[in-house]
Amino acid sequence: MAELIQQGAEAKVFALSFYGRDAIAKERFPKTYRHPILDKKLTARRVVQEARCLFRCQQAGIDTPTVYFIDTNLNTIYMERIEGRTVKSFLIEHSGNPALVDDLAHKIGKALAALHGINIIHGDLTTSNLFIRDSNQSLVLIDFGLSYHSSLIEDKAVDLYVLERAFLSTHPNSEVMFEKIVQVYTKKSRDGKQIFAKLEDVTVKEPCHK
Amino acid sequence: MSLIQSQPLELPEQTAAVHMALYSSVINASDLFQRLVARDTSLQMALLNAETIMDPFQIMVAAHRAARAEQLGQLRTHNVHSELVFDLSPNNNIREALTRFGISSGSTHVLAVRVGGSQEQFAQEIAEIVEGRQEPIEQLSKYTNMETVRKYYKVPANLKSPEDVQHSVIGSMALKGHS
Repeated sequence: MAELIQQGAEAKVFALSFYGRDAIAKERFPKTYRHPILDKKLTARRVVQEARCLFRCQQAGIDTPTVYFIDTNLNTIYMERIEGRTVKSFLIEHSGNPALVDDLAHKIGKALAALHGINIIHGDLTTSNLFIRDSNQSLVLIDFGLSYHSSLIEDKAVDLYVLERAFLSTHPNSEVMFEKIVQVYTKKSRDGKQIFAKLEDVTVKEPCHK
Repeated sequence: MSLIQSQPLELPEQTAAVHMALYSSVINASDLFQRLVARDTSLQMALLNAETIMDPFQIMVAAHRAARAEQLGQLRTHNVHSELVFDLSPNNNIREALTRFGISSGSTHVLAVRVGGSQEQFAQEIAEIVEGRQEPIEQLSKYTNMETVRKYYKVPANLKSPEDVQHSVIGSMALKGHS
């Protein structure tokens, strides 16, 4: 019944039905280069951490997939499958429509401000990990596989920086859109100005890392 | 025709069915409660306070978790039925779970749930056990007390739509013991 829809470095993702609802099962597999006992502990912790971040977002009113069941024995999270499309595919189709793009940038900025407002760092913000729900056009954050809890300005800035890189590398001429996202984010976010300043910092630093 | 709703479990190598029967105007709740307290083994089912249940999916999520725990030999309570009641609760307090989600002496709306066995057998047993008016499971939401649900699951005030509340309830159950 379950269909493998994604095979990543960390996990396999299956599409399936969970008691009548469209669901995915995300199964983390063992990392063979780690000591088995340590690996078991770390993997189990990672699974729970991902579910916890999803749940915290949901409780704060940030649209994220609902967690249905955590199978600690199989290192698997069963969660809601979002009926919708990725921001990536949306942008490829609608990049020429400023009104739509502007509206989307607004939604993204607002969602990220809310996310960082509860001190959750997504860790892997890309336009493939942002979904638009078919039913109500709501922006949904998915794949919290690398997410964690932090109130550090720098962590939040780096989170945005990752998204910026994703934007600029995947979507040509998206500078204006990203600027808009940051603008909305800065306005809505408690420490918006500081995070923005840090983002500039991180961006300037970038060539040295290469 | 039976008003009982049956749905198979979706566990690895376990496809036993979960049967649900909804009753209103129950008059022997006090007696049933006493039998539960006395651990009467002829009651092979979970008897729930229907006011705390939003829809059958909530039951299936709890049943799934309870049956999985039983499968792995990790039950925290006596059996799969008490575990189901426990797994409806968002926290690890067993006594509180049983009082909140199980029936009490004064319950009038009762949801009976059996994990395993046939629908016919459950139909027969339940007819002798619960004295009340059997209703189609679709009526369940009519008896849901949203205030109680919000309170028991600590649903944040910012979540207002029934959908958001339901998602919060399911998430709270799934995260139980993990947060």
